[in-house]
Amino acid sequence: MFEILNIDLPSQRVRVQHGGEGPPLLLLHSEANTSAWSEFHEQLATDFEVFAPIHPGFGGEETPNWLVDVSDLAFHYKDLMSSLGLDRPLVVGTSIGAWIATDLAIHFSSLLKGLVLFGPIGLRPNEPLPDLFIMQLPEAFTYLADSLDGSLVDPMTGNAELATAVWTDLATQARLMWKRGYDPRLRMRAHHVDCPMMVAAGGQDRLTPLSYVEQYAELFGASLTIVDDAGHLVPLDQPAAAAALVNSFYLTLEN
Amino acid sequence: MELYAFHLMPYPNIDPKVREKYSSAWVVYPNSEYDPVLGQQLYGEYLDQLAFADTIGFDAVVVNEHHQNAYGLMPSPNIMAAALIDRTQNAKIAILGNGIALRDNPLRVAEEVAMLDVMSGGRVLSGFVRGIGAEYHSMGLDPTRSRSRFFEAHDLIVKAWTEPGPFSWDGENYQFRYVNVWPRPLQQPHPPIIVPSQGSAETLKWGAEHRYPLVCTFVPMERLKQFYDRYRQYASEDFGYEAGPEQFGFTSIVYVHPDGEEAAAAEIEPHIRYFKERAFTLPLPTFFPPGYTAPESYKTRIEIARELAASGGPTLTAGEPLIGSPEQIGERLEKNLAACGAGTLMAQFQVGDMPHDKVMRSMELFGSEVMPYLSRNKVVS
Repeated sequence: MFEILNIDLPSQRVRVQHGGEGPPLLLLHSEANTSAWSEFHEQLATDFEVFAPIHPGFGGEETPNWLVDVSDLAFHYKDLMSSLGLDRPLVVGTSIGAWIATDLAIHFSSLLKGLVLFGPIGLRPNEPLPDLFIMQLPEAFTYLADSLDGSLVDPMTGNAELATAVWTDLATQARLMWKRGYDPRLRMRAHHVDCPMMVAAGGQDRLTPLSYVEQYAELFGASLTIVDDAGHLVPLDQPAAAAALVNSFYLTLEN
Repeated sequence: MELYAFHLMPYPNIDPKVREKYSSAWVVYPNSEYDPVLGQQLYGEYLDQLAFADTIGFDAVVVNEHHQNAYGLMPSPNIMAAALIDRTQNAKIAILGNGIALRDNPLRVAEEVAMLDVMSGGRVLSGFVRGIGAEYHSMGLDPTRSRSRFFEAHDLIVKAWTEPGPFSWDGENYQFRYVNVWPRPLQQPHPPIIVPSQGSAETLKWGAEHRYPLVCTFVPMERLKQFYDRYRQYASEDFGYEAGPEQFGFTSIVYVHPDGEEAAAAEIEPHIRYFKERAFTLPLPTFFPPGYTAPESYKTRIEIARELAASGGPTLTAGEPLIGSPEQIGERLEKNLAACGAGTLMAQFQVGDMPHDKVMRSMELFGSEVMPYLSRNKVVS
């Protein structure tokens, strides 16, 4: 069960899915129309009070003009935390959401309890990552999660509404990642993160190689967990296992 | 009516065995397949064809801009325009267009087009385009900025041409402390601006607002009529004027054969097929990368793709081809222009891998027989 909160921020109005009870948890979603309340949210809501905002320019909304790079979203979510009165939430992010979470921690580490990152991106890879923008949507899905059904977004035979929603998410991702799919400043700024961090990646991740997440975890001094039978978007493929990881990480912070 | 000679300058030797390994002849088709020695010959032939259009009385010759592909070998249309200045006497040189949104420095376009206008004695028609989606892949440019960059680059270039410099420009996409373009264009207030479009409502309205002629390439007649009607509607309802035929043009493939339609069709068919199957194919994410257009327009694009697939694939014949005897072509040309209320035909004589001698034979017949027909019937003055 969840409700929708509409919060007005200096950047723009944000829609927040809110449900569950417990310590506050800010959940930053991944790409490809995956922002909706899901099994993963439901699992988290049994132990946390979950706040799951829709990123500006995602969920069917056109890319806003003010959005230039990922740091704009870090400040946007700092404003959201203030507005909601969240006291040191645990921040959980997947893929692009994990990148936003990392940048949020770089700027406002002291306001956060800790970070759980599933399939983070944003670090400069040794080799270019696959180019989702030039792929047909069903092919792009195969790089993201096994549980996504590509046939639904086939432009010729699938659901045109759904294909447009996925394409619109990709558009905002293009604003953030087209020229450079990473932030060269992350490496230099990594030491500003001084809250605990955990990285998890799918054992069958096709988007980022294992060496990539290893570098990511090492850079931020985070632990790394590999989740079996999961692609890049771990919470989509393994919602229960992902939620259990979040829980056990939280318990280590309490002790 | 005005006649323009349209050219894409395609690469005619796309090897089907290599091509089938790639999704498109754009962006990812390897340039190791390009033979520069053949390339030199092709540029010579293609420029000769456009120069010949001038000698048989065409009002303009047309060049355009596409990047990293085997479909059209004019990444810099201004270089081709420069090459045409001394090869032509009377024809206007229509650059359709410069992809102004693709440039990090639009003042370079203002400078180059002004140079061309001065050098040609005021014969330049200056088209401005956003560049199709493929160019954003090829140029590493964020497609979500395309519309905003296009409109701002246009405003900047026109101001650079018309207002005394130096002045400063502080826009969302472009910033210049000093805008002071030398040379200024010869034509006053500036070279005529033309808008090639794929018919997005936003562009149609903007074109109507500025009274810029609209030209379309490979658009089926039914859609063409819709686009023109919408433009005319914007003109009369929003901007208080009636848009005349001189504000509309479209491209048709033209192939003239003394023995009429059947013989002409048999001869041009393999070249159209080459063009369609090997050169023209653009997968949707290449043609419309994320953010290139508004979500609603993307949905329309999906619908168009489905319509085209249902009707047998994207047809080059969509642009109402003029294939047949000189009389057949003359009659059909009149009819097509009247059907949509257009005043400019952009004739594409060279198609796909059509060799030079074949193109020239068709053009010669156009000059010796279609042109006199059009004069007799007062289609052209």
